Amino acid sequence: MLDAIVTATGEIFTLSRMGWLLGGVLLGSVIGFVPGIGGRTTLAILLPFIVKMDPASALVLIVGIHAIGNTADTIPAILFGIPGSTSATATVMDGFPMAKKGEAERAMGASFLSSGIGGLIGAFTVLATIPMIRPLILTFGNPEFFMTAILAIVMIALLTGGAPVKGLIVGGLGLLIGMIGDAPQTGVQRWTFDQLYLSDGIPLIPIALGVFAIPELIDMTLGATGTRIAAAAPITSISTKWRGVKDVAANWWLLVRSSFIGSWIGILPGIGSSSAIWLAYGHAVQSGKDKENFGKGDVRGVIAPEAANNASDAGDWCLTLAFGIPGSATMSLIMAAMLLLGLTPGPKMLTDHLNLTLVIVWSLVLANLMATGLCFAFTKQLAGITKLPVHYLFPVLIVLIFLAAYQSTADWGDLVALLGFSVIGVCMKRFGWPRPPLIVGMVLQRLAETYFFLTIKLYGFSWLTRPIVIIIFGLTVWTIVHAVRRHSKAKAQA
Amino acid sequence: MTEASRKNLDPSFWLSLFFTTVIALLVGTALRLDWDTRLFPWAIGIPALALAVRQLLTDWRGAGATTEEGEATPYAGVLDIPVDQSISPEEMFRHTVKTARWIFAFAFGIWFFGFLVSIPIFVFFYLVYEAQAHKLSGLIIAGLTFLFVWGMFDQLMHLAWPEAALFTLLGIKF
Repeated sequence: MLDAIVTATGEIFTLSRMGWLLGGVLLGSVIGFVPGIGGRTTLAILLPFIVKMDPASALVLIVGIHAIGNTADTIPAILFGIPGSTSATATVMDGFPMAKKGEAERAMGASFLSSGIGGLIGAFTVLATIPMIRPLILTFGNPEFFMTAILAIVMIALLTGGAPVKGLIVGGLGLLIGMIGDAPQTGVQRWTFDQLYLSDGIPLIPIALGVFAIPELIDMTLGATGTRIAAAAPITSISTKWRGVKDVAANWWLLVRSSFIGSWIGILPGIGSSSAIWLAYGHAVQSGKDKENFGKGDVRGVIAPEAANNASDAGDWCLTLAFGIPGSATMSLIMAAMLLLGLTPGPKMLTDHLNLTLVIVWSLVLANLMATGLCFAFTKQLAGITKLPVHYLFPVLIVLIFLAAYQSTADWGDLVALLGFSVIGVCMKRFGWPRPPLIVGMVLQRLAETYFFLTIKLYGFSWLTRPIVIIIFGLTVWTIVHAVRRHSKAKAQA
Repeated sequence: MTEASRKNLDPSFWLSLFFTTVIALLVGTALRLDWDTRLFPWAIGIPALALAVRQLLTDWRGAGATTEEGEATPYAGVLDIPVDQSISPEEMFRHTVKTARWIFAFAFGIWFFGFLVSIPIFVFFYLVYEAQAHKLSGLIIAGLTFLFVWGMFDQLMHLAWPEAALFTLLGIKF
């Protein structure tokens, strides 16, 4: 192991490899900033070129492109309320209200630093747990994975504070919408109404953009012509990125906890960063002493999901490398790139190719540092966008949202889904229905259904007696009881 | 429905009704599927339907609107980006409809003219007529937006654009 670490360190700290890493970070930052595009598209474009490179340089470049995506996708989420990817949806909740208060720079400072540190904690956690990961993962069978998915949905649904029932309904609806298309076990088409577009299910991006981005854009243009995003804040508002840094320092324990949540969720197959961010956000809300500012521009609502997002990425890498199980669509593409490079992801990456695995871990650490530094350097300029008249930004952002939605599957159905879910998103926001559980339900549907089916078929009812299932079940019940008690208390006080 | 209950009917009722209908339809149509395929939809759908009916009744009675009585908004307990309370609901509704018209007009433009033609047209007209920008500024921003989209999505990503109805009608292929 020590020899491999020394070899990997020697391989990464060369001029050409550092150049590839920086190149990947720069390239990813240009394309990753555009909502809905992200690292996956950049990787798809570069795939034909990557396969001609030597494996270590190609992996370094891939990590560079991928790492910046998770940091840069926060920028449109904070500035315009448009999640750059589904793993930035939680940041919208408090990042965008902060921008409206004239605190975009502070929010981005906190976000970038949390992302960077979260990524580092994630990478080191993975490095430290490589020898233990196999037995750790093997303690989780189908019932445990199923219960984890249910816990995640319940947590997010009940996060909604004043409306636990609405949260659960929306979470259930998200799961049901996720079921449209091929049933994972039987292959039978479900609720497709003979529409080819629906046979693969409705993609997440048009729904996330419709539910989150369009309602915020409509509200953004509510003021008179010439209104700015940060209309409520004076132009001279002192809220620098350094304030964001101080916020991170003040909430360091939340950052560490969120990073561990992200690392753990990242290691679990199929759950991924889209759920990790909401679990971390939920944890921040539930563990916070004063909760009333969440959703209105609380910096903790930025720190927690951003740390978890980047930390989960390291776990996702580990899963792909050590088990050959891609935890996300991007990882599937990376796995394809590795196969084209002649590397087979799986246990051999921890034995025969351990030095390459460690090159990836090193690259993750350095790419996170570079991405944080790069984004941090341009925070002031980016925050300046909130001082532009929103009516000038609106048509350009609408164009980007439509393009981001359309490029999901390049089908008219993407645009119809975007428009339909925009109407639903606007109504949900106006009438006090929580939006996050819809997305989390959709994200976790396939995983939950697959494990539910396998659990029932393989274990009957005996799965309910497994110790980890009992623990997770207890946590789920505690979450429900806690939320209901809080709701009753709030009603009694009103 | 009595006069009093009509007066107190929570606006959320209509959304509750919509969600209840959707969930009921999904649960009901799942009956046609085989047992293994409908197992999970029912495991999730039936409890969700029960909760949706409960919520529908709450909203029908008008209780939903008074859940967080005493706070600035009837939905203050819901964790979400707050709606601007300084703007009246009527003004908010008017604005939403007006903005939705622009969005749907753009969607229609994409269907009729295609993405690459409708993008600069939409940006220009919105800027000039809605944002009251100078025509030259409108032209410059529309042109830059077009160049960005064309460069990134057409030249770099080779995105397969949908066929525009107008060009299909005229038999023109790009």
